[in-house]
Amino acid sequence: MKKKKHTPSQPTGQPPVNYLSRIAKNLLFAFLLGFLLFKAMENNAGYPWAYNMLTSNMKLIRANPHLTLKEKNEMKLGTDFAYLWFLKEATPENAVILYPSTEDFYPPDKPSPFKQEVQNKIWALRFLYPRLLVLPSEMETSPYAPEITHVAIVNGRGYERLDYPVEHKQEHGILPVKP
Amino acid sequence: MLYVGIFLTFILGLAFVHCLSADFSPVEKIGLAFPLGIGLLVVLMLLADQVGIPLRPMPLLLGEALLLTTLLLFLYGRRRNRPKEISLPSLKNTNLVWLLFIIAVVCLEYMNFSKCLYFPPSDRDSLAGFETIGYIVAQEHTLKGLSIFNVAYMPGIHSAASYITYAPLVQLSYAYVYALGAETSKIIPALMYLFFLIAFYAATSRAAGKTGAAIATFFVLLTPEMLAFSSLSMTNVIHAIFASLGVIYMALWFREREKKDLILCGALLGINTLCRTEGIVFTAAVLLLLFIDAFRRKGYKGFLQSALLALVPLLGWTLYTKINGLEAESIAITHPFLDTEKAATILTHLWQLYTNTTLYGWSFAVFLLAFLVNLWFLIQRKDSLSVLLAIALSSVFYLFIIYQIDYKWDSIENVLLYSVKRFLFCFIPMVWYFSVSNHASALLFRKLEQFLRIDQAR
Repeated sequence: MKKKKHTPSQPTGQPPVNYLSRIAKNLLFAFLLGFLLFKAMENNAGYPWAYNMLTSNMKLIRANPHLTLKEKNEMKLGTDFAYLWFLKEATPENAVILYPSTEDFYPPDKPSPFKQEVQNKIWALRFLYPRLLVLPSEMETSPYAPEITHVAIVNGRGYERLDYPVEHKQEHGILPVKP
Repeated sequence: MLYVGIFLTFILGLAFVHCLSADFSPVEKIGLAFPLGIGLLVVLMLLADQVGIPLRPMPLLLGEALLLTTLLLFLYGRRRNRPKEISLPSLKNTNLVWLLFIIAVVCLEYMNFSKCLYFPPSDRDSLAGFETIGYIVAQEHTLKGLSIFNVAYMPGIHSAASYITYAPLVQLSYAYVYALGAETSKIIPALMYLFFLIAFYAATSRAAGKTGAAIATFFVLLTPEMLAFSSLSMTNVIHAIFASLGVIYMALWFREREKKDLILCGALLGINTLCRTEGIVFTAAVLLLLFIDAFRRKGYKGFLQSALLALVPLLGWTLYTKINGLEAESIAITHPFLDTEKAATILTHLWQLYTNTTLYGWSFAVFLLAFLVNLWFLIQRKDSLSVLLAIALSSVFYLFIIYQIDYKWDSIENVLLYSVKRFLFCFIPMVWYFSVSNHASALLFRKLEQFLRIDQAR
């Protein structure tokens, strides 16, 4: 005997599916759950923070869709990036730079404009590579010390590492070893 | 060339998943393809670097193409073993609650993905480590011979906790995209997180149904601290992707006893140790559970295959570092000792982290609640015992590791506040997986799905 096919949407002996009532039930349940969840999540400090972080970043992205990589780096890293960009622009790729020490970047006697990790050699190399960096503390041991071509100046410090006098001293800059 | 490289990596991962088993669902395959592709690519880069092949775009792309051809030939060789039934994603049995959460996940991830791609790497740990290493590898075409690994140039390179010892996955994947012409490396964390969400949803839906999986994915995505870090260039979230998926596939193996899950679990845990070496705690916990299971069932073949995949990457990386002198002063205390003050500091900080709902949202609270609700089934049927044991054992192993470390490069408080805080990301997907897939929750979601079903009669 031929078996009668049962379609899943209309099983035998059951009334036809009322899609409208099911969708209404879903809508109501989804709305209730969404509302309860939203209210509960509002009471946790973390979730609103996470959501606001995403939306505020989206606003920023939409307001500045065509920023260059340099501009974005300046936005995120501030003076630290601006200083490194300046060193990069002012030196050739094969430069060997006598790079300031941590104390030069953050002098104890005055406030520093730097907020990130600019004093960290590897951090700075991300923006200065392939230039070589030598720290003042490495001058006695580094094989690159005799090859130094430039001296970086920061917060008015570093002029004493040059063999010649400088007339118009700037707060930040880079000068060749030989005038 | 960048898009070709990314696509090739995706296809490579897809072919690899297909080689493991054709029976994974299409959504699972798509979700796993990119992370596994990156894992294979990094292994390839390490091998190439060891034998002296420069890490330039052409050798890398050719190597990937060659590996892809090998995998395709393997697939062609077993073409008769077709999947039993190709189950394409369908909108059948859906409900508006599922849809609501999926829409929320898509919208949130769109914002997160955009943020990740828009901003260049700026966090301290990336720029003072992985990001810069990756950038310079792309310029110098080598990892082992990197100029910044030269002690004459970097006198502190062999000091405790130096970046020379960092496991290679993140920096080599960054090197790959830089070598192919990317302006920044952010395409890697952006795509990794996107594909992770897909893979997590697909894996969880096998145990909890699609509504439970959508809710869990939503909460994993919106976990505040993890969400913030997912768009940075750091290793922690990428590590959490491999570690958590490895543990979840172990749980699926115990649940469904399908060998494909066991093998995939091994592969994911193997790559997990290439992200961060402390990922060994997950490998050790899972292999211990798998060994006990194999011992009880007197069947070791699957366990050995999985163990091989889980351990070979770490052993290979250790060998690579030994051969090439990429070592630093040890920070491990190798003898047993008792320091109650140190133990108390660790436990106090960990307790503060686990109970911090600002950092991790409701993740651990919901986990505790789900554990209590499911306690009856846990006692009666050992329900979800494997995932609970994996979480507990890996936590204990991790506690042991942080206790045995000599904090000579930083204070223990700083390490607990920053490193450990991020390490807990690994547990977030695991606890959400458990919270929605245990017997009591799965029953609830099944009832809910039946109640809300639109297209079929109940």
